[in-house]
Amino acid sequence: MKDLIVLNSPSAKEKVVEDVRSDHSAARIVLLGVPDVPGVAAKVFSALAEQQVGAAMIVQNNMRGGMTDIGFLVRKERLDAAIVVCRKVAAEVGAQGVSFNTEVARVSVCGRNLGDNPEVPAKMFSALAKAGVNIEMIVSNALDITCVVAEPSASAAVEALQKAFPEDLEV
Amino acid sequence: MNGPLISIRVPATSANLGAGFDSLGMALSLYNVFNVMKLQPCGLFSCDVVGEGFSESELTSARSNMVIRSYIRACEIWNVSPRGFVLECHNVIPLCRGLGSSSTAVVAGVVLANLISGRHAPESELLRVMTVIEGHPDNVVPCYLGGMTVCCWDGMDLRHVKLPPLPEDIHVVAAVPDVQVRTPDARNSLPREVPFGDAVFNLGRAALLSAAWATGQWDLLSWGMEDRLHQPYRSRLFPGGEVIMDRVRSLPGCFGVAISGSGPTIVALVRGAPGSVASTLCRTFSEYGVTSRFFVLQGSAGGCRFTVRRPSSEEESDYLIAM
Repeated sequence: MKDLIVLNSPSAKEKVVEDVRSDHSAARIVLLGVPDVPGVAAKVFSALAEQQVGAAMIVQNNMRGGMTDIGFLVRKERLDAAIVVCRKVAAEVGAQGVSFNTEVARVSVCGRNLGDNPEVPAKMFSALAKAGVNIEMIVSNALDITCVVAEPSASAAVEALQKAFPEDLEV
Repeated sequence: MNGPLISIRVPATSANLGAGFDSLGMALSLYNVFNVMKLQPCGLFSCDVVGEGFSESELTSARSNMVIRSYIRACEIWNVSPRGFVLECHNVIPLCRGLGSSSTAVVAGVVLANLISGRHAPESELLRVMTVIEGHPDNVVPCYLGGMTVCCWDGMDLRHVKLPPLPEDIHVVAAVPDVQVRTPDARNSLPREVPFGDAVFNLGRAALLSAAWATGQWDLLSWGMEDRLHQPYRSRLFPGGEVIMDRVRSLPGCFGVAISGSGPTIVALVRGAPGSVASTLCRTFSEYGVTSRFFVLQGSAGGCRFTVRRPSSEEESDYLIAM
Protein backbone atom coordinates (compact mmCIF):
# COMPACT_ATOMS: atom_id res chain seq x y z
CA MET A 1 0.00 0.00 0.00
CA LYS A 2 3.03 2.25 -0.13
CA ASP A 3 1.75 4.00 -3.31
CA LEU A 4 -1.46 5.15 -1.68
CA ILE A 5 -1.63 8.93 -1.47
CA VAL A 6 -3.77 10.27 1.31
CA LEU A 7 -5.14 13.73 0.59
CA ASN A 8 -5.54 16.05 3.53
CA SER A 9 -9.13 16.43 4.51
CA PRO A 10 -9.72 19.80 6.14
CA SER A 11 -10.97 19.64 9.68
CA ALA A 12 -13.66 21.97 10.90
CA LYS A 13 -11.01 24.05 12.67
CA GLU A 14 -8.84 24.64 9.62
CA LYS A 15 -9.04 27.98 7.89
CA VAL A 16 -10.46 27.70 4.41
CA VAL A 17 -10.29 31.30 3.25
CA GLU A 18 -7.00 32.62 4.56
CA ASP A 19 -6.97 35.99 2.86
CA VAL A 20 -9.05 38.44 0.84
CA ARG A 21 -7.03 40.50 -1.63
CA SER A 22 -7.61 43.22 -4.17
CA ASP A 23 -5.37 44.40 -6.98
CA HIS A 24 -5.81 47.59 -8.97
CA SER A 25 -2.81 47.25 -11.27
CA ALA A 26 -4.43 45.44 -14.20
CA ALA A 27 -6.30 46.51 -17.33
CA ARG A 28 -8.76 44.26 -19.10
CA ILE A 29 -8.56 43.54 -22.83
CA VAL A 30 -11.13 41.65 -24.90
CA LEU A 31 -10.61 40.59 -28.51
CA LEU A 32 -14.14 40.60 -29.90
CA GLY A 33 -15.48 38.30 -32.58
CA VAL A 34 -12.34 36.30 -33.19
CA PRO A 35 -12.80 33.80 -36.05
CA ASP A 36 -12.77 30.06 -35.38
CA VAL A 37 -9.35 29.41 -36.89
CA PRO A 38 -6.56 27.33 -35.29
CA GLY A 39 -3.62 29.36 -34.03
CA VAL A 40 -5.32 32.65 -33.21
CA ALA A 41 -4.60 32.45 -29.46
CA ALA A 42 -1.02 31.45 -30.21
CA LYS A 43 -0.64 34.48 -32.47
CA VAL A 44 -2.07 36.89 -29.88
CA PHE A 45 -0.03 35.74 -26.91
CA SER A 46 3.18 35.18 -28.89
CA ALA A 47 2.95 38.77 -30.12
CA LEU A 48 2.36 40.01 -26.57
CA ALA A 49 5.29 37.96 -25.30
CA GLU A 50 7.58 39.44 -27.96
CA GLN A 51 6.78 42.87 -26.55
CA GLN A 52 7.30 41.65 -22.96
CA VAL A 53 3.61 42.05 -22.14
CA GLY A 54 2.45 39.43 -19.63
CA ALA A 55 -1.16 38.25 -19.76
CA ALA A 56 -3.21 36.79 -16.92
CA MET A 57 -6.74 35.44 -16.41
CA ILE A 58 -7.03 34.38 -20.04
CA VAL A 59 -10.62 33.38 -20.84
CA GLN A 60 -12.11 32.25 -24.13
CA ASN A 61 -15.90 32.33 -24.38
CA ASN A 62 -18.04 29.62 -25.92
CA MET A 63 -17.90 29.66 -29.70
CA ARG A 64 -21.11 30.80 -31.42
CA GLY A 65 -21.56 31.10 -35.14
CA GLY A 66 -17.87 30.50 -35.80
CA MET A 67 -16.66 33.37 -33.62
CA THR A 68 -15.59 33.84 -30.04
CA ASP A 69 -14.19 36.44 -27.62
CA ILE A 70 -10.81 36.18 -25.88
CA GLY A 71 -10.41 38.22 -22.70
CA PHE A 72 -7.37 38.70 -20.44
CA LEU A 73 -5.60 41.13 -18.14
CA VAL A 74 -2.32 43.01 -18.57
CA ARG A 75 -0.54 45.35 -16.21
CA LYS A 76 -1.60 48.96 -16.69
CA GLU A 77 1.96 50.16 -17.26
CA ARG A 78 2.19 47.84 -20.29
CA LEU A 79 -1.18 48.91 -21.70
CA ASP A 80 0.16 51.08 -24.54
CA ALA A 81 2.34 48.22 -25.79
CA ALA A 82 -0.60 45.83 -25.47
CA ILE A 83 -2.87 48.20 -27.45
CA VAL A 84 -0.44 48.23 -30.37
CA VAL A 85 -0.08 44.44 -30.38
CA CYS A 86 -3.78 43.65 -29.98
CA ARG A 87 -4.92 46.06 -32.70
CA LYS A 88 -2.38 44.61 -35.11
CA VAL A 89 -3.27 41.00 -34.40
CA ALA A 90 -7.02 41.73 -34.44
CA ALA A 91 -6.69 43.23 -37.92
CA GLU A 92 -4.57 40.31 -39.12
CA VAL A 93 -6.97 37.61 -37.94
CA GLY A 94 -10.13 39.48 -38.94
CA ALA A 95 -11.51 40.01 -35.43
CA GLN A 96 -14.46 42.38 -35.09
CA GLY A 97 -12.61 44.66 -32.66
CA VAL A 98 -10.74 45.02 -29.37
CA SER A 99 -12.02 46.67 -26.20
CA PHE A 100 -9.94 47.95 -23.28
CA ASN A 101 -10.88 48.73 -19.70
CA THR A 102 -8.57 50.39 -17.18
CA GLU A 103 -11.23 50.90 -14.52
CA VAL A 104 -11.18 47.33 -13.19
CA ALA A 105 -9.86 45.57 -10.10
CA ARG A 106 -9.17 41.99 -9.15
CA VAL A 107 -10.73 40.71 -5.93
CA SER A 108 -9.62 37.30 -4.65
CA VAL A 109 -10.24 34.89 -1.83
CA CYS A 110 -7.19 32.74 -1.12
CA GLY A 111 -6.65 29.50 0.78
CA ARG A 112 -4.86 26.17 0.54
CA ASN A 113 -8.03 24.06 0.70
CA LEU A 114 -10.44 25.91 -1.59
CA GLY A 115 -10.81 22.93 -3.90
CA ASP A 116 -12.08 20.75 -1.05
CA ASN A 117 -14.71 23.28 0.01
CA PRO A 118 -17.38 23.64 -2.65
CA GLU A 119 -19.36 26.12 -0.55
CA VAL A 120 -16.65 28.81 -0.93
CA PRO A 121 -17.43 29.98 -4.48
CA ALA A 122 -21.17 29.95 -3.75
CA LYS A 123 -20.62 32.00 -0.60
CA MET A 124 -18.24 34.37 -2.41
CA PHE A 125 -20.51 35.07 -5.37
CA SER A 126 -23.57 35.42 -3.12
CA ALA A 127 -21.74 37.96 -0.94
CA LEU A 128 -20.74 39.99 -4.00
CA ALA A 129 -24.26 39.85 -5.41
CA LYS A 130 -25.72 40.97 -2.07
CA ALA A 131 -23.31 43.93 -2.09
CA GLY A 132 -24.45 44.83 -5.62
CA VAL A 133 -21.07 44.06 -7.15
CA ASN A 134 -21.23 42.88 -10.75
CA ILE A 135 -18.64 40.27 -11.74
CA GLU A 136 -17.02 40.76 -15.14
CA MET A 137 -14.67 37.76 -15.17
CA ILE A 138 -14.09 34.74 -12.91
CA VAL A 139 -11.04 32.51 -12.77
CA SER A 140 -10.27 29.92 -10.10
CA ASN A 141 -7.52 27.47 -9.24
CA ALA A 142 -6.62 25.36 -6.22
CA LEU A 143 -5.34 28.34 -4.24
CA ASP A 144 -7.62 31.24 -5.10
CA ILE A 145 -10.85 32.39 -6.70
CA THR A 146 -10.50 35.72 -8.46
CA CYS A 147 -13.19 38.01 -9.81
CA VAL A 148 -12.68 41.06 -12.00
CA VAL A 149 -15.01 43.86 -10.93
CA ALA A 150 -15.41 47.55 -11.76
CA GLU A 151 -12.73 49.45 -9.84
CA PRO A 152 -15.14 51.74 -7.98
CA SER A 153 -16.88 48.71 -6.48
CA ALA A 154 -13.66 46.96 -5.37
CA SER A 155 -13.70 48.28 -1.80
CA ALA A 156 -17.34 47.21 -1.36
CA ALA A 157 -16.38 43.80 -2.74
CA VAL A 158 -13.51 43.36 -0.29
CA GLU A 159 -15.68 44.46 2.64
CA ALA A 160 -18.43 42.03 1.61
CA LEU A 161 -15.97 39.13 1.38
CA GLN A 162 -14.37 39.92 4.73
CA LYS A 163 -17.84 39.80 6.27
CA ALA A 164 -18.72 36.58 4.43
CA PHE A 165 -15.73 34.67 5.79
CA PRO A 166 -15.27 36.13 9.30
CA GLU A 167 -14.19 32.99 11.19
CA ASP A 168 -11.57 32.14 8.62
CA LEU A 169 -10.03 35.57 8.57
CA GLU A 170 -10.13 36.24 12.32
CA VAL A 171 -7.97 33.22 13.28
CA MET B 1 -22.22 22.36 -41.71
CA ASN B 2 -22.19 25.01 -44.41
CA GLY B 3 -21.29 28.58 -43.50
CA PRO B 4 -23.51 31.59 -44.16
CA LEU B 5 -24.92 32.17 -47.64
CA ILE B 6 -24.21 35.87 -47.30
CA SER B 7 -21.92 37.48 -44.73
CA ILE B 8 -21.84 41.27 -44.36
CA ARG B 9 -19.24 43.09 -42.24
CA VAL B 10 -20.15 46.70 -41.45
CA PRO B 11 -18.10 49.31 -39.53
CA ALA B 12 -19.03 51.55 -36.61
CA THR B 13 -19.19 55.25 -37.38
CA SER B 14 -18.75 58.52 -35.56
CA ALA B 15 -21.20 61.06 -37.01
CA ASN B 16 -22.04 64.69 -36.17
CA LEU B 17 -18.28 64.99 -35.94
CA GLY B 18 -17.33 68.23 -34.17
CA ALA B 19 -18.85 71.17 -36.00
CA GLY B 20 -20.24 68.90 -38.74
CA PHE B 21 -23.71 68.26 -37.36
CA ASP B 22 -25.63 65.87 -39.66
CA SER B 23 -22.90 66.23 -42.28
CA LEU B 24 -19.49 64.87 -41.20
CA GLY B 25 -18.88 61.26 -40.25
CA MET B 26 -16.09 58.70 -40.24
CA ALA B 27 -15.94 54.91 -40.32
CA LEU B 28 -14.19 53.21 -37.39
CA SER B 29 -12.44 49.85 -37.23
CA LEU B 30 -15.06 48.10 -35.11
CA TYR B 31 -17.42 45.82 -37.01
CA ASN B 32 -20.81 44.16 -36.73
CA VAL B 33 -21.23 41.01 -38.80
CA PHE B 34 -24.59 39.94 -40.21
CA ASN B 35 -24.95 36.47 -41.67
CA VAL B 36 -27.81 35.14 -43.76
CA MET B 37 -27.75 31.43 -42.98
CA LYS B 38 -30.66 30.28 -45.11
CA LEU B 39 -33.25 31.71 -47.49
CA GLN B 40 -36.93 31.22 -46.66
CA PRO B 41 -40.27 31.89 -48.32
CA CYS B 42 -41.38 35.46 -48.87
CA GLY B 43 -42.00 37.36 -45.62
CA LEU B 44 -40.75 34.58 -43.32
CA PHE B 45 -37.87 35.77 -41.13
CA SER B 46 -36.07 34.68 -37.99
CA CYS B 47 -33.02 36.08 -36.28
CA ASP B 48 -30.50 35.30 -33.59
CA VAL B 49 -28.32 37.92 -31.90
CA VAL B 50 -24.89 37.24 -30.41
CA GLY B 51 -23.13 39.94 -28.38
CA GLU B 52 -24.51 43.44 -27.94
CA GLY B 53 -28.29 43.43 -27.64
CA PHE B 54 -28.65 39.66 -27.34
CA SER B 55 -31.22 40.11 -24.56
CA GLU B 56 -33.13 43.01 -26.12
CA SER B 57 -36.38 41.95 -27.73
CA GLU B 58 -36.19 44.89 -30.14
CA LEU B 59 -33.20 43.17 -31.77
CA THR B 60 -34.03 39.50 -31.28
CA SER B 61 -37.58 39.75 -32.62
CA ALA B 62 -37.67 39.38 -36.40
CA ARG B 63 -40.59 41.82 -36.44
CA SER B 64 -38.55 44.68 -34.98
CA ASN B 65 -34.96 43.76 -35.90
CA MET B 66 -33.51 46.75 -37.76
CA VAL B 67 -31.67 44.70 -40.39
CA ILE B 68 -34.87 42.91 -41.36
CA ARG B 69 -36.97 46.08 -41.20
CA SER B 70 -34.48 47.93 -43.41
CA TYR B 71 -34.39 45.01 -45.83
CA ILE B 72 -38.19 45.00 -46.11
CA ARG B 73 -38.27 48.80 -46.46
CA ALA B 74 -35.68 48.69 -49.27
CA CYS B 75 -37.70 45.95 -51.00
CA GLU B 76 -40.79 48.17 -50.74
CA ILE B 77 -38.92 51.13 -52.23
CA TRP B 78 -37.73 48.94 -55.11
CA ASN B 79 -41.09 47.22 -55.40
CA VAL B 80 -39.72 43.68 -55.06
CA SER B 81 -41.02 40.80 -52.93
CA PRO B 82 -39.07 40.44 -49.67
CA ARG B 83 -37.73 36.89 -49.73
CA GLY B 84 -37.41 35.67 -46.13
CA PHE B 85 -34.21 34.48 -44.45
CA VAL B 86 -32.60 33.25 -41.25
CA LEU B 87 -30.36 36.01 -39.91
CA GLU B 88 -27.51 35.77 -37.43
CA CYS B 89 -26.26 39.08 -35.97
CA HIS B 90 -22.82 39.22 -34.35
CA ASN B 91 -22.90 42.61 -32.66
CA VAL B 92 -19.87 44.17 -31.00
CA ILE B 93 -20.72 47.84 -31.54
CA PRO B 94 -22.29 49.13 -28.32
CA LEU B 95 -25.99 49.98 -28.66
CA CYS B 96 -27.35 53.51 -28.23
CA ARG B 97 -23.88 54.92 -27.52
CA GLY B 98 -23.37 57.10 -30.59
CA LEU B 99 -21.24 54.66 -32.59
CA GLY B 100 -23.71 54.00 -35.37
CA SER B 101 -24.90 50.50 -34.42
CA SER B 102 -28.34 51.12 -35.95
CA SER B 103 -26.72 52.40 -39.14
CA THR B 104 -24.86 49.12 -39.53
CA ALA B 105 -28.26 47.43 -39.53
CA VAL B 106 -29.68 49.85 -42.10
CA VAL B 107 -26.68 49.42 -44.40
CA ALA B 108 -26.79 45.62 -44.06
CA GLY B 109 -30.54 45.52 -44.73
CA VAL B 110 -30.27 47.56 -47.92
CA VAL B 111 -27.26 45.57 -49.15
CA LEU B 112 -29.16 42.33 -48.50
CA ALA B 113 -32.18 43.62 -50.42
CA ASN B 114 -29.90 44.51 -53.32
CA LEU B 115 -28.19 41.10 -53.30
CA ILE B 116 -31.21 38.88 -52.73
CA SER B 117 -33.41 40.71 -55.23
CA GLY B 118 -30.61 40.68 -57.81
CA ARG B 119 -31.27 44.37 -58.43
CA HIS B 120 -27.61 45.41 -58.86
CA ALA B 121 -28.40 48.98 -57.85
CA PRO B 122 -25.58 51.48 -58.33
CA GLU B 123 -23.79 52.93 -55.31
CA SER B 124 -25.63 56.25 -55.53
CA GLU B 125 -29.00 54.49 -55.36
CA LEU B 126 -27.92 52.33 -52.41
CA LEU B 127 -26.74 55.39 -50.47
CA ARG B 128 -29.95 57.26 -51.24
CA VAL B 129 -32.14 54.40 -49.97
CA MET B 130 -29.97 54.00 -46.86
CA THR B 131 -30.31 57.73 -46.13
CA VAL B 132 -34.09 57.64 -46.66
CA ILE B 133 -34.38 54.81 -44.12
CA GLU B 134 -31.93 56.30 -41.60
CA GLY B 135 -33.18 59.88 -41.99
CA HIS B 136 -29.76 61.50 -42.19
CA PRO B 137 -26.61 60.65 -44.12
CA ASP B 138 -23.61 61.13 -41.85
CA ASN B 139 -23.64 57.60 -40.40
CA VAL B 140 -24.79 55.46 -43.34
CA VAL B 141 -22.56 57.07 -45.98
CA PRO B 142 -19.21 56.51 -44.20
CA CYS B 143 -20.56 53.17 -42.95
CA TYR B 144 -21.08 51.97 -46.50
CA LEU B 145 -18.14 53.71 -48.18
CA GLY B 146 -15.60 53.71 -45.34
CA GLY B 147 -13.31 56.61 -44.47
CA MET B 148 -14.29 60.17 -43.59
CA THR B 149 -17.15 61.69 -45.59
CA VAL B 150 -18.84 65.06 -45.98
CA CYS B 151 -22.54 64.73 -46.86
CA CYS B 152 -25.44 66.98 -47.80
CA TRP B 153 -29.02 65.68 -47.93
CA ASP B 154 -32.10 67.67 -48.93
CA GLY B 155 -34.64 64.95 -48.22
CA MET B 156 -34.53 63.69 -51.81
CA ASP B 157 -31.00 63.88 -53.12
CA LEU B 158 -27.62 63.20 -51.59
CA ARG B 159 -24.24 64.70 -52.36
CA HIS B 160 -21.09 63.47 -50.67
CA VAL B 161 -17.31 63.72 -50.77
CA LYS B 162 -14.94 61.14 -49.33
CA LEU B 163 -11.87 62.72 -47.71
CA PRO B 164 -8.34 61.28 -47.58
CA PRO B 165 -7.55 58.79 -44.81
CA LEU B 166 -6.14 59.80 -41.45
CA PRO B 167 -2.43 59.04 -41.08
CA GLU B 168 -1.86 55.68 -39.37
CA ASP B 169 -0.21 57.28 -36.34
CA ILE B 170 -3.39 59.19 -35.51
CA HIS B 171 -5.74 57.02 -33.46
CA VAL B 172 -9.37 57.51 -32.58
CA VAL B 173 -9.90 56.76 -28.90
CA ALA B 174 -13.59 56.09 -28.24
CA ALA B 175 -14.56 56.01 -24.56
CA VAL B 176 -17.92 54.31 -24.12
CA PRO B 177 -19.73 54.84 -20.80
CA ASP B 178 -22.20 52.28 -19.55
CA VAL B 179 -25.21 54.55 -20.03
CA GLN B 180 -27.43 54.87 -23.07
CA VAL B 181 -28.65 58.00 -24.82
CA ARG B 182 -31.60 57.25 -27.05
CA THR B 183 -31.46 59.07 -30.37
CA PRO B 184 -34.94 60.65 -29.92
CA ASP B 185 -33.87 62.05 -26.51
CA ALA B 186 -30.71 63.43 -28.08
CA ARG B 187 -32.72 65.05 -30.90
CA ASN B 188 -35.23 66.53 -28.44
CA SER B 189 -32.44 68.08 -26.39
CA LEU B 190 -31.56 70.43 -29.23
CA PRO B 191 -33.03 73.95 -29.44
CA ARG B 192 -35.39 74.82 -32.29
CA GLU B 193 -33.40 77.97 -33.02
CA VAL B 194 -29.79 78.91 -32.38
CA PRO B 195 -28.19 82.34 -32.00
CA PHE B 196 -26.79 83.75 -35.24
CA GLY B 197 -23.34 83.96 -33.65
CA ASP B 198 -23.38 80.22 -32.88
CA ALA B 199 -24.35 79.42 -36.47
CA VAL B 200 -21.46 81.52 -37.76
CA PHE B 201 -19.12 79.86 -35.24
CA ASN B 202 -20.06 76.42 -36.57
CA LEU B 203 -19.88 77.40 -40.24
CA GLY B 204 -16.26 78.43 -39.84
CA ARG B 205 -15.33 75.36 -37.81
CA ALA B 206 -17.06 72.88 -40.14
CA ALA B 207 -15.42 74.42 -43.18
CA LEU B 208 -12.05 74.41 -41.41
CA LEU B 209 -12.46 70.78 -40.33
CA SER B 210 -13.23 69.64 -43.88
CA ALA B 211 -10.47 71.71 -45.43
CA ALA B 212 -7.89 70.67 -42.84
CA TRP B 213 -8.79 67.01 -43.31
CA ALA B 214 -8.67 67.32 -47.08
CA THR B 215 -5.24 68.94 -47.05
CA GLY B 216 -3.69 67.00 -44.17
CA GLN B 217 -3.33 69.98 -41.86
CA TRP B 218 -4.09 67.85 -38.83
CA ASP B 219 -3.05 70.44 -36.26
CA LEU B 220 -6.14 72.47 -37.24
CA LEU B 221 -8.55 69.69 -36.27
CA SER B 222 -8.76 70.89 -32.66
CA TRP B 223 -10.57 74.02 -33.89
CA GLY B 224 -12.69 72.06 -36.33
CA MET B 225 -13.92 69.73 -33.60
CA GLU B 226 -15.40 72.65 -31.64
CA ASP B 227 -19.16 73.05 -31.83
CA ARG B 228 -22.02 75.15 -30.51
CA LEU B 229 -24.99 73.49 -32.24
CA HIS B 230 -25.29 70.16 -30.49
CA GLN B 231 -22.46 69.28 -28.10
CA PRO B 232 -23.28 71.89 -25.41
CA TYR B 233 -26.83 70.53 -25.20
CA ARG B 234 -26.08 66.83 -25.48
CA SER B 235 -23.20 66.89 -23.01
CA ARG B 236 -25.86 67.46 -20.33
CA LEU B 237 -27.53 64.14 -21.11
CA PHE B 238 -24.89 61.89 -19.53
CA PRO B 239 -22.79 61.98 -16.35
CA GLY B 240 -19.47 63.77 -16.76
CA GLY B 241 -20.38 65.06 -20.20
CA GLU B 242 -19.93 68.73 -19.33
CA VAL B 243 -16.34 68.37 -18.04
CA ILE B 244 -14.85 65.44 -19.88
CA MET B 245 -13.89 67.16 -23.14
CA ASP B 246 -12.15 70.06 -21.37
CA ARG B 247 -10.04 67.63 -19.35
CA VAL B 248 -8.83 65.69 -22.35
CA ARG B 249 -8.39 68.46 -24.91
CA SER B 250 -5.13 69.74 -23.42
CA LEU B 251 -3.45 66.37 -22.88
CA PRO B 252 -0.24 65.72 -24.88
CA GLY B 253 -0.96 64.13 -28.25
CA CYS B 254 -4.69 64.98 -28.22
CA PHE B 255 -5.72 67.38 -30.94
CA GLY B 256 -9.45 67.02 -31.13
CA VAL B 257 -12.25 65.69 -28.96
CA ALA B 258 -15.97 65.44 -29.63
CA ILE B 259 -19.19 63.69 -28.70
CA SER B 260 -19.65 60.79 -31.10
CA GLY B 261 -22.99 60.85 -32.87
CA SER B 262 -25.60 61.85 -30.33
CA GLY B 263 -23.49 60.52 -27.45
CA PRO B 264 -22.61 59.46 -24.86
CA THR B 265 -19.41 58.07 -26.40
CA ILE B 266 -16.54 60.56 -26.51
CA VAL B 267 -14.02 60.34 -29.36
CA ALA B 268 -10.56 61.85 -29.18
CA LEU B 269 -8.02 62.08 -31.99
CA VAL B 270 -4.65 61.16 -30.56
CA ARG B 271 -1.19 61.10 -32.12
CA GLY B 272 1.17 58.62 -30.46
CA ALA B 273 0.43 56.41 -27.46
CA PRO B 274 -3.29 56.66 -26.62
CA GLY B 275 -3.21 55.16 -23.09
CA SER B 276 -3.17 58.36 -21.03
CA VAL B 277 -5.98 60.02 -23.01
CA ALA B 278 -8.08 56.86 -22.78
CA SER B 279 -7.41 56.48 -19.06
CA THR B 280 -8.36 60.10 -18.39
CA LEU B 281 -11.62 59.69 -20.30
CA CYS B 282 -12.56 56.54 -18.42
CA ARG B 283 -11.41 57.89 -15.04
CA THR B 284 -13.62 60.94 -15.53
CA PHE B 285 -16.63 58.75 -16.21
CA SER B 286 -15.78 56.79 -13.04
CA GLU B 287 -15.69 60.01 -11.01
CA TYR B 288 -19.26 60.61 -12.10
CA GLY B 289 -20.33 57.11 -11.11
CA VAL B 290 -20.34 55.53 -14.56
CA THR B 291 -18.26 52.56 -15.61
CA SER B 292 -16.81 52.65 -19.11
CA ARG B 293 -14.49 50.93 -21.54
CA PHE B 294 -12.60 52.23 -24.52
CA PHE B 295 -11.60 51.30 -28.05
CA VAL B 296 -8.54 52.47 -29.97
CA LEU B 297 -9.70 52.61 -33.56
CA GLN B 298 -8.53 53.40 -37.03
CA GLY B 299 -10.33 56.55 -38.14
CA SER B 300 -10.45 55.69 -41.83
CA ALA B 301 -11.67 52.13 -41.72
CA GLY B 302 -12.91 50.36 -44.81
CA GLY B 303 -16.64 50.36 -45.47
CA CYS B 304 -19.21 47.61 -45.89
CA ARG B 305 -17.79 44.31 -47.14
CA PHE B 306 -19.71 41.18 -48.01
CA THR B 307 -19.11 37.67 -49.22
CA VAL B 308 -21.62 35.46 -51.01
CA ARG B 309 -21.31 31.68 -50.95
CA ARG B 310 -22.56 29.57 -53.81
CA PRO B 311 -25.44 27.54 -52.32
CA SER B 312 -25.38 23.77 -52.24
CA SER B 313 -27.92 21.83 -54.25
CA GLU B 314 -29.90 21.10 -51.09
CA GLU B 315 -30.31 24.77 -50.30
CA GLU B 316 -32.95 26.98 -51.73
CA SER B 317 -31.01 28.97 -54.23
CA ASP B 318 -33.17 30.45 -56.94
CA TYR B 319 -32.76 34.02 -55.68
CA LEU B 320 -28.97 33.71 -55.36
CA ILE B 321 -28.25 32.17 -58.73
CA ALA B 322 -28.63 35.55 -60.38
CA MET B 323 -25.81 37.08 -58.31
